[in-house]
Amino acid sequence: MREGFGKTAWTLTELCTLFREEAQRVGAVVQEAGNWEDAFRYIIELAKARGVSLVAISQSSLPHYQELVQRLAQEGIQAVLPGEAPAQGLRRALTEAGMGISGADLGIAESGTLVLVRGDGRDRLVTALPPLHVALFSAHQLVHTLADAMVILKGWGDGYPPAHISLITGPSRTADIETALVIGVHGPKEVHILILKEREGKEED
Amino acid sequence: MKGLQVEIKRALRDPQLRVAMERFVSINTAARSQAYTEVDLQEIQERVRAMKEKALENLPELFARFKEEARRAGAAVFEAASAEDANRYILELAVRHGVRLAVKSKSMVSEETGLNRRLAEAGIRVVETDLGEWIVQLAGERPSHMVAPAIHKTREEVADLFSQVTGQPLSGAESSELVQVARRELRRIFLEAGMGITGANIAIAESGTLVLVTNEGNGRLVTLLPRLQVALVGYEKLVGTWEEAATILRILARGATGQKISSYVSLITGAVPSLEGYRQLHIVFLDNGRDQMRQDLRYREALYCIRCGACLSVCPPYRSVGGHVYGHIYVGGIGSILTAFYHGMEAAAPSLDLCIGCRACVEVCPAAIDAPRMIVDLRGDRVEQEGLPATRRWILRDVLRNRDRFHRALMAASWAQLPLTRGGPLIRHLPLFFSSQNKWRSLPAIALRPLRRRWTGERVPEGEVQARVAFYSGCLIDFAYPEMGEAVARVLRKEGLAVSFPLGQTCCGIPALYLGDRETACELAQQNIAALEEAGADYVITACPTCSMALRHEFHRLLAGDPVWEARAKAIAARAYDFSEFLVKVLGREGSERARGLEGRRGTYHDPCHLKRGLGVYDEPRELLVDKGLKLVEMMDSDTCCGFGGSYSLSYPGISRDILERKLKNLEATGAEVVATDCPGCVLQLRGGLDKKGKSIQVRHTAEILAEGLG
Ligand code: SF4
Repeated sequence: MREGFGKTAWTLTELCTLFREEAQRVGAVVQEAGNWEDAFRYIIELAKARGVSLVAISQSSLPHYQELVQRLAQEGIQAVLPGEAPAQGLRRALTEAGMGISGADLGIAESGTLVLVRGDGRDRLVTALPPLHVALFSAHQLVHTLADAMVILKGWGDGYPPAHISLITGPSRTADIETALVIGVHGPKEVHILILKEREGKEED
Repeated sequence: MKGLQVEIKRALRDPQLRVAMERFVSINTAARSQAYTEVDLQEIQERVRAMKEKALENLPELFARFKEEARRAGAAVFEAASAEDANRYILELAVRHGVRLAVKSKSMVSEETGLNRRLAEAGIRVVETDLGEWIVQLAGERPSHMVAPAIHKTREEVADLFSQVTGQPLSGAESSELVQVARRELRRIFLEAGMGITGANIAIAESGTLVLVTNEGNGRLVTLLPRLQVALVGYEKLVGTWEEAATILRILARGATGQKISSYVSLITGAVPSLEGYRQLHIVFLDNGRDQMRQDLRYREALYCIRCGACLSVCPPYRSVGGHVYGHIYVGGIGSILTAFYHGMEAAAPSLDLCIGCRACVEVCPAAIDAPRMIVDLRGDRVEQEGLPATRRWILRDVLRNRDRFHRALMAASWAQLPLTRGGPLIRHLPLFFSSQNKWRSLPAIALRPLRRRWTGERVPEGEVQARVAFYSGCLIDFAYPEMGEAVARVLRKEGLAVSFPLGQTCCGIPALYLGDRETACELAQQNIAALEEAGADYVITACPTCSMALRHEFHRLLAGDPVWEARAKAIAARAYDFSEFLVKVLGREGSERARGLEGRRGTYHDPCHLKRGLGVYDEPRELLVDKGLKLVEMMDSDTCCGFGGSYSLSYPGISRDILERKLKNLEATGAEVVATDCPGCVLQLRGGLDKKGKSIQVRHTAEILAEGLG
């Protein structure tokens, strides 16, 4: 399934650069992380800086999420996992969380777009309700164009496309009042993207 | 039609609307132009057209496939023949599930069916969640734009509306504060709603997938929070594959807002489990006139529309009056066509008249949809169904069709105007042909000696005859600006051509066609074809781009179906050229003696709509003028309509004038001493406007400039 990865005329470094430029252009913050540890540190720093005490984590899209939960707990930051919390509490927790953390299954370099495939509606809500979304993915998950992404998505699971795929490009925005661009309407006001240079663990391959 | 005129007046007098429209148009146009530079628009237009055509051709199969796949993925699919069918299905669903509150992400189809009202009558509250739509809903209005529904509202008006919701005063609030109010208020509603209603931008048949695009993120919340999901989809949204969906996504956001891709694209296949576990997804496909449109090949291309809104910001009348004047949910040129099929001809009639025929929309449309052509066809259908109003009927059928009577009437008018003209080249109170006149634009006097009286026999060159051409002048040059015709003859003679003026020629019929009188237009096409054939020339040359377009494109279209006449029309079309196009493309510029004469004069060029977008000619006149020595300074929006549009400027003087004002502003900003253009109609409009303003800037036909200094 993953054979298409990396088979492009673009080198990974070029794709990374393009992705970063494009995502920044639409207002996302893009950071490269040497390894998971770096990424976790970034998340914790960011949470502290924003005064976040409750985060939601889309565990089905994020490898090593347990480590992250532990690290957050050490800092006194509580994490809610949609796959584990009961429905009632979850609705509340998701609306109160100051940060939503997810993986991304693909990154589209030409437009700085995150593609979320794994998980269900609850995982998507992690990236939709909190005012701040942090997404992590490995550099080798970058593709060049939307068309490249579509080909991969279409054949994702035995020809049955996943139920709810989200393409996310920058924070939520509107220009509906006097054509003035305002960031942060119904979705996140801030999007931080961490690109991991280290390949994901063996369980993926 | 009275209502329309009242609405137009109101819109033109609304200063806030004017400011809002200008702001929107300039920001939106700049963003789109930038985004379009990253793609090969023409290639995309061809691809989108081919793809949409294939999809519409195979629509029943595509739909069957979609239905099968979507059902397999757990969605229910309902086929609604009418708006009422769709509304009833959704209402019953809501009642069955005890829904009291529904949230909706922008769906034009739901506005088309009047779903909100229908649900409200049953006590179910529907809240719009797109910011612009919510504003419009709170104000009890209709969206005025398909992508930016509330552009006509000021920040202060929005603040007032929001104050009523929150009970807190919000006056003086910045846009960003108002957006935060919306986020807070709507967030509560999202969490309470029992039903989420969306449209779909694309429906992918091969997997039964719906594609939903938003920038605000409301589409995601509407599809992820409520337990019950409804998507209301027009059949024309179907495409075959994911790759085809990618093609649409690639251009949709660029055309709409100048983004590479919208902030959020959701691809939804079947029911998505979310907070409370498994949920329901109901997909309602709506026909409501779409199949009739699909079956009628003249109008099928209206279904190519992906609702990007690119056509609106470039539409001069839309820019002047905004969306509400169109009277229905679908606005602009494409909107009036959709309205004709979804709501009926009567509903569409006023808005069909608003199109000035400048073709700016065709140029920027991702599917190059020829809305102006379809609008003319619909006007024709309407006249066939309802007939022509009496005066118009008399002018078109009894005067225009009869060459002698028409020309005698024009001559009578030229004598009647005498006491008023005081010998000046422009007169201030006079009928333009047969209509009453406006105070904002001076009109030319009708020539005492029209071109046809001045021109006897063939005008031959000094040396050897290289080729013979017939000059087709059109009414304006013949009767108002014969000097332009003289100039054309002088330039062509200098090129070694023998130029004749076939006396059997008459009005090209476009004015009749644009008023829906196909019958008269056909009749005139035949008269002109016969006259031009008789001249037996190698080429037919025009100096009026609307006439050129008639000769090249309209005559054979009008006469299609009559094999003999169609072939005759095509033979003329193959020999017909507009003046500057002919000089550059046919005669070539090498070794031309045309150059010199204008050294150092600062000039600008106004592109006539029908020359640029009807014939694809825009470099040629510029090359000729620069060769002649003109120092060319381009004006902003040089190819935007001047507002003339023939009888349009008489039917809708307020809009015509407003369009002209914008043009003159751009024109004056260049500091040019002379404006060149290639259309007598544009000359009339520009000269008339400048004269009224007391400006001394000269307006000349390119032919007149080129003829300067020639014997
Ligand atoms: S007609 Fe063309 S430009 Fe206008 S909204 Fe439709 S697709 Fe866009």
